Amino acid sequence: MFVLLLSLAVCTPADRALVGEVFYDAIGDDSGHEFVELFNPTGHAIALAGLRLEAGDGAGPGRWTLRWTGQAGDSMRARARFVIGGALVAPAPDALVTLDLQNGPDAVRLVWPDGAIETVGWGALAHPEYFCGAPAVDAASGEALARVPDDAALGSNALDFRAQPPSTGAPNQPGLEVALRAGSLRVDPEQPVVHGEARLSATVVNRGAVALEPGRVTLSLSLGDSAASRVIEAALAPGDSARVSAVLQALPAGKALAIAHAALAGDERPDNDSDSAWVRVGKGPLEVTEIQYHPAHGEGEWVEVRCRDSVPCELASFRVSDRGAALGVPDPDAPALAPESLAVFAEDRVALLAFAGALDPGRLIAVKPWASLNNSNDTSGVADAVVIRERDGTRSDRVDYSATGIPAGVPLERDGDRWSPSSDPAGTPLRPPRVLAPLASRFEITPPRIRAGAGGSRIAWALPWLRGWVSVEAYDLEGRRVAKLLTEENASGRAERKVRLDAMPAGLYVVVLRAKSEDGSANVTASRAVRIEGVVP
Amino acid sequence: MIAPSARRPFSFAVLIALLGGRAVGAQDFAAPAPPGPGDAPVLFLESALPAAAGALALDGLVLRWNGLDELVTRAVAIGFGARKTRVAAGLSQTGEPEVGWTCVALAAGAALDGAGLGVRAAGRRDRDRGALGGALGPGLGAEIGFGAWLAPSAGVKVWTSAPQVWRRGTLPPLSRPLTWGVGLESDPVRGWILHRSPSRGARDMGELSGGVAFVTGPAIAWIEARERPLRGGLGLAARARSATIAAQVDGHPVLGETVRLSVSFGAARSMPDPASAGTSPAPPADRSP
Repeated sequence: MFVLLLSLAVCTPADRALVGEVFYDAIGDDSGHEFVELFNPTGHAIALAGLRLEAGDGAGPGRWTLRWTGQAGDSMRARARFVIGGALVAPAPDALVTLDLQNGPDAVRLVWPDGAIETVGWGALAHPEYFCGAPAVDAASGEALARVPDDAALGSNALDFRAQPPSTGAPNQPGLEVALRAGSLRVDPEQPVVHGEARLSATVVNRGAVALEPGRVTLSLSLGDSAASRVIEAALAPGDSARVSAVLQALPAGKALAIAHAALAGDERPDNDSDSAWVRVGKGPLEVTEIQYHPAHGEGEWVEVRCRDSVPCELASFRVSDRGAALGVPDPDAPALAPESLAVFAEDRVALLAFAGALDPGRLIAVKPWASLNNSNDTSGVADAVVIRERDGTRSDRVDYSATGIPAGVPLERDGDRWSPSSDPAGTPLRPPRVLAPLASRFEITPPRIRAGAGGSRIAWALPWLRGWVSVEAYDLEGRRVAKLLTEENASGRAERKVRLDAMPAGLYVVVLRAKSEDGSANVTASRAVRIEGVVP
Repeated sequence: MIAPSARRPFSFAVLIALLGGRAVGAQDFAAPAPPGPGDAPVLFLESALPAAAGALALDGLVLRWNGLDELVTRAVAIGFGARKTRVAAGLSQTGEPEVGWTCVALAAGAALDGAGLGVRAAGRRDRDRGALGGALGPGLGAEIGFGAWLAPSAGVKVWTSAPQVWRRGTLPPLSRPLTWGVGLESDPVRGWILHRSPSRGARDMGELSGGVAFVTGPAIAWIEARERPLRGGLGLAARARSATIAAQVDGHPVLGETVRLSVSFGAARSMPDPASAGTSPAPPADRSP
């Protein structure tokens, strides 16, 4: 008990103003937005003259620097707040100071003229001088460390502070208050189909000190002209949250704002009750038409896109990514792409130009940083995704691709709503898919005679269906399987592949194409003889 | 008119003698026949297993591999035996010019009481004019191999064949490793088991096959099965006077059917089948009751 009381005394000096809130990581540039809010929990005024606010750099011991010192006229009335912060803090701070706080693990401390100290640290701090009890969480960008409730003194920064949206100069925990958790608004699917449906969901949090009875909070969800309301039927104790969703149907095509709004009669802080995000219903203005995720000649990865809008697409205003969060930014000087035209976003524009030669350099756009695309599938059967977004984050197109059955180095190409290995093994950047000439027979191999170790042959097929499942194997004259040349893949009915035959020993082989229709109702088998030449060494 | 019971030994001996046997891995003279040693010249050329009995014989063979029109073999062969000496020569052509080849083969050997030993040599030339050059010239290849059989007792025969012991120049269309087989006979049923060693440079475990033949009058029918992948064949042969017509169809779970047809002309000979004693019996007429 003595130790506990001692620790309480150390964290919050008695009869003093407390650190009420720390905002050190604004979204984007922190400059001018940072603040430290003091709160006087006592029933009397407190003079701040001589009080020192110091910032601690948790990277090493003893790294404290003075940020602000209370002047003779600075004081706080009972239950009042005093904000020390930058020029962009709103409402305007009581003391204007550029704090330059670190994003953690770091700390601030108040040093009173009589030597009493209160320390507040956050993040994974290694040196005990930077925190009291245990460090508070490291708040995400846009969130502040707030003492909740406002006079909490539980003997540990971790217990006294939580991350939540900043409440400059206002109580951290009002009496009656609900909020939408920042970033909790979701639209699933992110890019609904036209006249389809989407599930909108958001998280409502009781940030007040008062428990809310069932039915007191209503969440409205809307997307364009479609809207729905949901009454939260559960009780929400202080700190409790509820995930609420609604399905909106018959969505019209186009870009629309998804809005979630929580309504509570008497809400003391209505400014945090809404969240919104732009959503594209249907296809976006820029669509992915070809993906080179495993370049074999040093040309770098690239993605071909088509402007499917009726007006030119400003390429510089789009963002490119894999399924991660990092967004690649096209060259700001990228030109507008005419409707129905193709452009290529490239990891290495110079290398791709050197490889492909005759490409129009004006439609070859460098993207930085380039998110490296995966070459092999994960357990879900997907290797990676290519995502195109508008500058405001609205998704224009997303392609999740599988690397199964794709010959090494061959790009993936859009074939209607399907994706297949490119009709040209080198890809068709800035060109539409190659139209393959009709075949004289169901299955052909060119050339049918090659030398061992000299490379591969081109196999081509023409199936009686638009698409089918195709595999190719080689057997010797005795009927023994010698090689699996093409693992079963879903392919276009008319397609070509380059296969490595030279790995087989010299001899004569029967190469068999086996195909079945996508619904499995029909099969096709066709064979060709191939001679692999070789001599006795 | 000869009664069936009296005619049967004669017919059976002649039929099997003309059918003879073939080794696994045949490519130039792959006749429709159960495996093992036999009297047909095409079999001697293919497996180097000499006939037990010597006689003049002429074989003609047509074969379509796996249902491919571009892969058809046509072959003729002639064989002769005098005393213990056996010789055979043949000419074969397979496939269209881009993938095909022509083969000339010779075989020589000896057949003793209950045993036989032979040597074969084959020369091939790829039909494509731009064929790869080798030690013997563009598209030219040669190979030499041997075969031997032994009949330790009546109704039992064992044999082995290594048709490509020595190779030079262009490599053959099919690598043919060592094989060995055992044949058993219990009239009118014959059975055999054959093992093929792994091919050169291959990682497989070799291959086992087996089959059974049924003889009735002047006709013989046989079936055989092979592993990895499981596949099989069905054959039928019949003799009329000095001519024998034989056919075999080999099925495969993936590939098309391989169809073999042969016509043989020659004097009646002994060596009824792979499992027979293999001695040099008296002429069939003398064996008739």
